[in-house]
Amino acid sequence: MADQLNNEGAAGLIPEPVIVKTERRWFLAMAAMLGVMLAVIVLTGIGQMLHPLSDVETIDPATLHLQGEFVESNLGSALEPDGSITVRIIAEQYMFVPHCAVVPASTPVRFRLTSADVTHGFFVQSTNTNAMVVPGYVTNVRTSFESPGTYQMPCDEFCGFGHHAMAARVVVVPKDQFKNLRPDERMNCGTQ
Amino acid sequence: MKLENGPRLHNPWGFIVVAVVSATVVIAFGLGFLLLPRYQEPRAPFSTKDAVYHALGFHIHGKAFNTMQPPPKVPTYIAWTESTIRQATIGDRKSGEFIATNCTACHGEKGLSTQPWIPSLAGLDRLVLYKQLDDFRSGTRLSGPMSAIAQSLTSQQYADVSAYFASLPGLPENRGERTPRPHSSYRNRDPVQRLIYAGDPKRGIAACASCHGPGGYRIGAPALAKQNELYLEQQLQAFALGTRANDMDMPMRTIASALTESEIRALARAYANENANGP
Repeated sequence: MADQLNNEGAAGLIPEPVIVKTERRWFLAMAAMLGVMLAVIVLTGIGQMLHPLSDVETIDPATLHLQGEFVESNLGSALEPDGSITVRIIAEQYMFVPHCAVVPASTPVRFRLTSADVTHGFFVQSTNTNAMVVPGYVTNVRTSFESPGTYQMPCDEFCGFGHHAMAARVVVVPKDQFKNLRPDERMNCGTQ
Repeated sequence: MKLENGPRLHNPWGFIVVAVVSATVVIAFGLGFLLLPRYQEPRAPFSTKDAVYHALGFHIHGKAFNTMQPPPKVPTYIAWTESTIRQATIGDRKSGEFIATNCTACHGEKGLSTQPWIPSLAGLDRLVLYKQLDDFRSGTRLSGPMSAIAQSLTSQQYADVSAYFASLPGLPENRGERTPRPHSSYRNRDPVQRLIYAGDPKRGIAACASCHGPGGYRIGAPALAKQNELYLEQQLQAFALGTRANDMDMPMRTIASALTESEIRALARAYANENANGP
């Protein structure tokens, strides 16, 4: 085998400059492919406004119901003084609480989620939101909804036996309709 | 490669590498700790020091985010911390048996209740029994006789009596029941069995069995197989109406209010008639 290769080299079937040129050509081809792939990642990230969470906020998952902002009476969507909306949701095995959140259209919405047990996923259909909900941390995601409608919000991180049935909804209503809702209607979408 | 000139004395690459790495570190620090935490949050006017703390994960968000603070409505005073779990599981079975003589009039001789609206306790998980006793004491779960009894016992006695009932044969213990049953899928023709084993993803209703067994287990969730039918039905209705509200983080109120009246009845019947080895 080695003899054969040596013989070929000695015979000079492929001259060295040709080899160098070929190598350089393939190096450029690979660099171009790598560049295209990185560009796809960067451009989709910028284009669809996908950005990693920049906040690190910690919370005790065992005592969510006793203290802090995730007590029962504080869950659901809340109107902030500046007109934006904050939606607080607990992800737990195997549901989101509340099951359904009402938010107004064309308004900045901040989702604040945390997990009571294991890692869950937070994703609202046709928005730029997609984040993990990790026990011990608060997931803080900002978005806004342009058109009214019902948006599905499935758990997209495998969390155990009941994962496949873990899904909630976000109901987006026109801005003027939202003002007339009672606080409990904002939290559970009424009777649905 | 021209080695005859000898190694070069002034190799610029060492300097270039150090400069590039330090510039990267400085720029990354500025972006990650100063610029992004400060300007990505429109309603969080952080000082430089707070911005660095925030990016590092320290608790400074209290005033920035907790704009809503109505008085908390506490569903239960139990939290599944390590110390609570230890306290609930160190019970002595023998002294629990003595305390349990007070329970037999309603909950049956061996923890198997004959009255349909009173639950059987035999074989229930210790943590389940301990939590319910504590909830009766604190008034987060309402029942006249049980509140009075729970208030007359200490938390050590809760653990004792829980250990006794957990040791009795009867309802299947859900600890260790971690294997799904055969036919527990969407292909099951019976809609009630489908709800128990597969849930209803369209309505976001998780399978009962993923927390109450057989199959899954969630801390604080009782095994339901062979439980009294009327008791199950009444509890599901109470959760749906919110008259029973001692479920930590609201799982049962969420699920029960999504169920229809006939589903509640059918589920109670199905669980009551289920044997320990599945349907």
